[in-house]
Amino acid sequence: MTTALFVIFGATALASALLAVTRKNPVASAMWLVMMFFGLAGGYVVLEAYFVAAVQVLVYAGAIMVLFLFVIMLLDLRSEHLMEEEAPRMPILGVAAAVLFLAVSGIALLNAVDDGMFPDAAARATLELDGSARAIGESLFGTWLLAFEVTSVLLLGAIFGAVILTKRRLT
Amino acid sequence: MTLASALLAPVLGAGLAIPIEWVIGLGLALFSVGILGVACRRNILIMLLSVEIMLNAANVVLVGFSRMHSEISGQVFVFFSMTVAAAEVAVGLAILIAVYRLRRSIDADDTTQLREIDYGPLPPIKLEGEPSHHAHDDHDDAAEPVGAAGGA
Repeated sequence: MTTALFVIFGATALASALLAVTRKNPVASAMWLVMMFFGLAGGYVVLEAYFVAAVQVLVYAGAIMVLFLFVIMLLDLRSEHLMEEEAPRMPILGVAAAVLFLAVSGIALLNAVDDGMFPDAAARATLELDGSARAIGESLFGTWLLAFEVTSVLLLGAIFGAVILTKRRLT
Repeated sequence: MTLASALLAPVLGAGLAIPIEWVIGLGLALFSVGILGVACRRNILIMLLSVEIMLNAANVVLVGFSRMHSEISGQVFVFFSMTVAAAEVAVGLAILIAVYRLRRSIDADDTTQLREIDYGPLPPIKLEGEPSHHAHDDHDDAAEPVGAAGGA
């Protein structure tokens, strides 16, 4: 039952991602990406990472997609010259890169499965992990407190960068 | 027991039935879709979206390994990854808007200022204390005594 749910959510996410990168209209791409975020959030719920699922919907499907759509509106993409996109110089190379990555990593994954690096059904049944906000908060503000504080500096830098880049008149 | 797990307990059953390798496989497939988007599209907006897909693929793998090792740190790393993604999108879209103001285009092939700058016809380079026509003369007519004297 859980596996079936995970396959459904995962297939939704994968199909949405493929559609997102192949749509000509950027608005359609963004909408398919929202679909992918929701699919992944469903997958996280099935994996019992409840808080991650909630934050996935809030931050990705909420904040980041709004940022994307805001910029798409600012750019006035209905004008013709922004919609037309030149074909890549060598599309076969991009496809080859993706397929090659999938092949190499897939073989590595299959090897790892053959070596028994992943727990089997009996071992998985004993796994216990609390994915609640309390457990994540205790780890975040305990073990990873320094990393959390450094993250605030990163965000501050991103804010400065974004403001300077968009405010200054470039000539 | 959280509200979510209480609601989902009858659906999910006890323990984790999902094979971890399937989770990792989903992450790998998503990452390769992201590579496809970055490599095959020329629209900078779509390329940024594809980078988001790749970051999400990393998140999937982190959550999968977090389950496999029964270790919550993997899920904490997902939050750091999301923070980096948010910062990257903010700066990336700011660059996109700056590029659009400059070139009226968001095509990656139009943004080649760092590679080739169109200065128009290049002005002659004048070295200090040297007449600008000198090097030209030297090559055209090396036997001319005035040009040879000027070079010495």
